[in-house]
Amino acid sequence: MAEFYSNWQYTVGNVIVLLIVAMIGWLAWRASGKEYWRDATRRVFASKRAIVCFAVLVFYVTVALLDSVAWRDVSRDEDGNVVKSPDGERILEPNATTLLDRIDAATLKFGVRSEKTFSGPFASESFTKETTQDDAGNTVRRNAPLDHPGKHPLGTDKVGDDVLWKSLKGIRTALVIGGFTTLLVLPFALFFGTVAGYFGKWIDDAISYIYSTLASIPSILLIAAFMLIFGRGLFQLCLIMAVTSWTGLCRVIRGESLKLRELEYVQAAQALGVSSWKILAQHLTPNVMHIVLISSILRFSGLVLSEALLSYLNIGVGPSTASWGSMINDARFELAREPVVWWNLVAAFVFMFGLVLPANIFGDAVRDALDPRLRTG
Amino acid sequence: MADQPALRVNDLKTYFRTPYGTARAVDGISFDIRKGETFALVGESGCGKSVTALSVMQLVPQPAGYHAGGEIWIGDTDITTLSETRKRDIRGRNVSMIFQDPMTSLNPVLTVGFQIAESVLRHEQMSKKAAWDKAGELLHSVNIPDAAQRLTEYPHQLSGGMKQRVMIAMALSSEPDVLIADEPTTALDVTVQAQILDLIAELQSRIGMAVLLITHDLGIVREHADEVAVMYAGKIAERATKQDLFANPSHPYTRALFRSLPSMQKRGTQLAAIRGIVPNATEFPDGCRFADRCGFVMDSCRASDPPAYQIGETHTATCVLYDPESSHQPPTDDLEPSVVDPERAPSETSTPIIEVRDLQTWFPIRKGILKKTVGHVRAVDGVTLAIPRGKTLAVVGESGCGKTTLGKSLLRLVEPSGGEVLFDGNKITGESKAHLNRIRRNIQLIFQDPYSSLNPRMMVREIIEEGMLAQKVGGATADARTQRIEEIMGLVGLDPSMMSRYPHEFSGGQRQRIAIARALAVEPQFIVCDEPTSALDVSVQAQILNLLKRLQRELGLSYLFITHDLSVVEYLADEVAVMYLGRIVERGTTEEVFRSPKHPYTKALLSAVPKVDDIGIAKIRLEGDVPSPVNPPSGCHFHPRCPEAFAPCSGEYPGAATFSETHSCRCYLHIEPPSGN
Repeated sequence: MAEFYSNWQYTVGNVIVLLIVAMIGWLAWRASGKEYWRDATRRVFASKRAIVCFAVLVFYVTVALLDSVAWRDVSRDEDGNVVKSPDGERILEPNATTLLDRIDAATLKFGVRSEKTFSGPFASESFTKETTQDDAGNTVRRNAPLDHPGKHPLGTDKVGDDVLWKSLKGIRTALVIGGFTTLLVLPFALFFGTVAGYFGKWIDDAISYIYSTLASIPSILLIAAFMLIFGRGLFQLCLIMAVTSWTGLCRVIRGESLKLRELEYVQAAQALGVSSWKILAQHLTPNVMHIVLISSILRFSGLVLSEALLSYLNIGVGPSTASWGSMINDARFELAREPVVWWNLVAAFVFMFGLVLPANIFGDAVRDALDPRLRTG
Repeated sequence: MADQPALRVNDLKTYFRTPYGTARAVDGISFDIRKGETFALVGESGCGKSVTALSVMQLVPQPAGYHAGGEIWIGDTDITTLSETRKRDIRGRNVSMIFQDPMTSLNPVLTVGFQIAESVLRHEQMSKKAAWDKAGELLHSVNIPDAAQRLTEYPHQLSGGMKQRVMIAMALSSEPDVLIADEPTTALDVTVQAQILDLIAELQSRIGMAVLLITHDLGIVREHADEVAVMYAGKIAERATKQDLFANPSHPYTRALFRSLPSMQKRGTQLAAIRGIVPNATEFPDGCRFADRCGFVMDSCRASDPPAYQIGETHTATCVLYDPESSHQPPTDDLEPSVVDPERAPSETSTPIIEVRDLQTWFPIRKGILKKTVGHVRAVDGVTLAIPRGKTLAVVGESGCGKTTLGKSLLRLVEPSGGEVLFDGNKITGESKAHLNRIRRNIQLIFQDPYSSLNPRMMVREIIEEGMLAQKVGGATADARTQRIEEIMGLVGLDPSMMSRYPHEFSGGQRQRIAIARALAVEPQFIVCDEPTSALDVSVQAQILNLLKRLQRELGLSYLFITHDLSVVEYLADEVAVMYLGRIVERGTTEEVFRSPKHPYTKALLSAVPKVDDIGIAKIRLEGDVPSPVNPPSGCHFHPRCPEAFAPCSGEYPGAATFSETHSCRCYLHIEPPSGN
């Protein structure tokens, strides 16, 4: 297992994944001890729809987590012997393999079965005609038989990779872009939005000035500049997308806070001498959370889509990272072919839809379960 | 056909499908209205009055609501059997409706003239020009001055009273047989209310239509109705001519409504509140629906739904007490005698708890990029008053007169721009925020709307505890605070076991109790009550007024009671200040101001309130609306509307005329105008 620790970059990533899992477990354990959360959970899972959506989301998250745990193997030659460097050190493979890759390699083998080029779903011969020799040795132009006929439920792409596998690998990218960016956006938007709305006066002017300025810069240009300076990568992309997209949510939260500030329960708190920060935390923030939840879910799909656009401009996550965005980007050329290669686009669409729709429905169910106004009795 | 009623409703049932079961909002009511008559439906909110109106218009929200039985005859057509197209013809042509809130009934982006002309054209074939002219005539007929000019204006340029007149003009464009007025004046000031009700009566006698007047105000019924039905929980509890109802209210609910009204005569006694609240329409009890709240309840009440028993020729009551075959004695006197409050001990110190000197709260109006101040809204414009310890000072006035701003300025929730406020001899104005927060525990506030004054995401416990934590009172440990919260909840009449519920699980009256508990948690000495009962039904209002009086007696609280409801003032207040456009025009003890009002505005205000009893005081009708506090009229602010104005009134603002140690007013009828005028 020494190799597991040999590359700090992957070790840090793995520790973060473990921490996330531990955190979810700990929160669930804490919440299960409280009647309030038990009750809320019962309400959420009262509808079959929510249960189905939850199951779908669990699948996505599990795939993404499995795809995040990675380490580099020891290089072996074709006979399975460990390759050593001239000074006797063992050499690691240049690319890390994730847990998901390993499970796949051991069971379904989607990731390792590749063809030469395009093939349709469950096809047994290639999609394009090519000049090959038949069994009798004659040179013919035909749809060549595949190396793995009938083993690609969603076909293969231009370089012969399994589309289902690519879509599965895209889940992690989508969840990181949607989730991590949202996590970065929320504290900024919440803090600046409520502060601007509640305090008003020059604080409001200053914050409004900042976000109006940011919002007036075409975000594509800002992202392009940032990615060119700091390099293309998932983390950089999340960071700059967060910087360009917090302004919208901030503006909405500011508006809502302006309204809430005038409400009588806020004035009552002021009359009781409650400090401003406590009013922000106790009266404003909980009452803008429904907006945060809804706009986060809507933003999520928007972020996944804008990744596609950025991939098209070649400032997205980079060619080595599988993403639905680059699949859609590839589809531009594929749809221009005759006959049309449709499965790449459809696969990306189905996977994206399968994430966004359950996220929306489940988000609604959670919001309703937590809204005290909808809780009866 | 002369005797055929214009509107006849027979056993009407309108139900709603809800997630909690079927809501029987209107459950078998019958009445009829003849041409030229006014029929009033009264009752508390949730009794089905508005649903009745919507049913007659066939505008019940679909698909949740549905017609569950009965007939609605307009002339000789039963409109429940008609197609939607035919219903639309009848609507507006034969039946029209005006709604409670004129602010939301007009389209803000279309001119008034366009909207009236549109409704004219819907029912009559004529050119657009002719429709526009007709719109002008209609506006003129509802007493809007400069009708031609007003046609081209947008709704936001009109005052609330004007908008309601426009609504009436639209409703009357086809000279309908039946006009339904659903709380037509509830959103308006009392002087404007009088104008609108008079206007409806005048138009009614001109056109000869039948009016279905829906209201919660028995005073309005007294002045404007011919026949009355008291509604309770989807059924008619009592039906009578106006004279019979007021002379001999029979159903226990009607009697209880009358007894819960505050008035001068009931000063010093507790109001007879009806216990509990109107049951939810999905869970009406079997038998008589009032049984749970009734003071005369018997076993037979819960056995079966009582039919309507005849009391007089035109008087029926749905109560087994009036069953001629039973031996029940109809109640001759009320079973529960009024409880007299114990005398209050006179306060020992003479320092007023609150003293306000020349308080001024002006809001700047800013315009342009540089936000230059171009003028001021003079919400509070030089108010001086003092509130003695343990007493109640009521501030009355119409909306926009600055009474709420005055209340908030006392607590510096709104920063005053001039003058000073002293609490117990210590200045509040000009102090630092930190010091202010310490003083605030002595001064608290209760708001009008119990729905927006409680954070929906906090439990009752957290709501009451909030002030304790901020002011560090009520105990250092959570256990000590819990005990204190239980005490306070008991004090305001809430069950302490409801501590961990959310506000939405409570009724309006209970929510107001929570708000009172929140204020009491920091042990204040002085509370500003900003219209604390105007969002509540009369029976619940009585509960809250009783509570406020008891708290004053037990805890020695002083109140500044802000209200537009003069009957509450009569009942509760020790002293009264009448405000008009940011200034106090008259003040004195309640006795003095109500028995011998001096200022013409006070007189008009008092006479405009519809009274349940003693009819026949001369009505003073004010013209127009309260002017804008941005540009108050010169001299006495009231002179453009004053029936007794004379030359000096437009000169300088009058000084104070004193009538007794406590009674003063600012009017040139009572002091010499400055020489030279």
